Amino acid sequence: MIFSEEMFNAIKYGYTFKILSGYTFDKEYIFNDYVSDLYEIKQSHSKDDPMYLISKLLLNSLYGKFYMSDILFYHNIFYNNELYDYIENYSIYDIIPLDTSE
Amino acid sequence: MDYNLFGQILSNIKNKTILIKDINEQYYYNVFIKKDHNEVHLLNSTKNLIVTFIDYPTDKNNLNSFTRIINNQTYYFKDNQLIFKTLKRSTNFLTSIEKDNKLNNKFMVMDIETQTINNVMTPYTICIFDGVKKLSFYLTDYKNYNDMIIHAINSIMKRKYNGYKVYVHNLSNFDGIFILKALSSIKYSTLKPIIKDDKMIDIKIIFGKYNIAFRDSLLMLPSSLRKLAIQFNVDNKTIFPYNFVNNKFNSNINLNYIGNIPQFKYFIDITIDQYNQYIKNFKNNKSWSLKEEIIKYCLQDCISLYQIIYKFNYLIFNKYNLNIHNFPTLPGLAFGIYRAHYLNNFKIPLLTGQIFNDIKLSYTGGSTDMFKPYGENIYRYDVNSLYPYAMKSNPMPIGNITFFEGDILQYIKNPFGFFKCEITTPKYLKHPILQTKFDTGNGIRTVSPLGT
Repeated sequence: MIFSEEMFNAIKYGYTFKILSGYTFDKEYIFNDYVSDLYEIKQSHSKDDPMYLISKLLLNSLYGKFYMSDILFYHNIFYNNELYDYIENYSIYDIIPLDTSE
Repeated sequence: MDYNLFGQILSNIKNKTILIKDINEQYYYNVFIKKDHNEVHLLNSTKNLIVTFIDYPTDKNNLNSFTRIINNQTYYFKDNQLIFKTLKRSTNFLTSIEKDNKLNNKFMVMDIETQTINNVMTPYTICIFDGVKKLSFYLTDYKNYNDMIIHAINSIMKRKYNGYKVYVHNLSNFDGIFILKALSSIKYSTLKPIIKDDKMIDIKIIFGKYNIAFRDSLLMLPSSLRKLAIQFNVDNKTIFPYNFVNNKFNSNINLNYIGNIPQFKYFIDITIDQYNQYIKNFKNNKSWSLKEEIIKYCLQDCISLYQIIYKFNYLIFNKYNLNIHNFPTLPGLAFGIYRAHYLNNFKIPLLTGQIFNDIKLSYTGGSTDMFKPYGENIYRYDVNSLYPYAMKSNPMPIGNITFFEGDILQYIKNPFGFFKCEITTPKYLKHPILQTKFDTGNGIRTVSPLGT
């Protein structure tokens, strides 16, 4: 899988592509205002002002959230003797022992 | 779309409405000839409508090259061969969230200090600060550290703290495991932990009608407490001889120690000037009590963290009318601000299942390269805010999703999306630009290969 814009760019450098299938979308500049506003805050505050740090953090923290997995994990806390019930009935991803000898 | 091929023509009204019986005599086609397309109703043997489709000619000289639209699907035919198809997929879209009209300061902070015995860290002091009240707990007053934590948590499981968030800086580190362990042994309560990638995002304990939730403030403000206190201009941490409670450095730890000020060697990362300054706090042979000093130190940490979070919440609320306590992590807060203020009418699809997994394959990390830095008379470039710049000045994929099969470049101009392709690279490139993930058998690596 490759993003179309990366593909069009790579064609300029001699890559060739045979497209088999994929997904198309509409396109829009959805982060324009968010980034402009926060960048303006970042530029207009001195480095020792808390708003400088806040705007910098917010600028860098949004994008990754759009890549969140749609899989949610539930954590349950139970006694060791209940473990086999869980293993039989659920799909378990990870077990964190709490070491309370119970 | 040459309807003569559908079957036997039963009636033809002015070349506008044509009824056809199919070759196998099971269905009827009712064809309506329009200016630039045919609308076809497929009927069953009792002439009830099964489906409607529309055929657009794509080649005036060849009736067997056409595009057929059936509901959310489009088929491209060339000489009656299916060469390309698309399918519109339905998705849900991101919704906006309401702003808060009231500032909420329902939070407190907790800090745990540990001692190190044979390289194992265990808690020996806990302090809690709710903005007014200071609470402290010291190991010698309890059976063991678990008992101490349970007492500390019990002291805040009160109705007046219902809905409070309890911030612990770096909860996801070992502090969280101690707390989780203690919480799991508190009777008549239910525990709802949210843990993701080993990060403790929210540890909620429900008791009767009430609840409190532990949060990791490091996930909201990813910096050390000392640096944050400077940045937010609040009272800063003090210093403490950490190695005085590490039996690697002090073979005889006595939690009831009262006596001379611990020597300089027990302090970590301070200068001799700072040490001399510290000594001045104990004039006239005032003795140094471990219990008193660690509680003082631990409470100061709590006060610093409380002031930082208070100020942070105030600044965010002032600017965005949102309370940070509704968002356990910094990306969560950024996302909340986006949804409350910047979503506009953008239709951002929520990807799930197969589509999510497919598109995920196109994501690789940023490209990096390693060099041994050496140079004379060189220019050095440092790009500021490159990441936000890329977000701002490039269009993002939104709106309805269409799945396709076939070589899209021949049918749609400048398609925008994610494609599964066979790629051939140029024979030589100094810096190959396309990356792919590759399982080395020893972990997944991102590489920029050459070849096919």
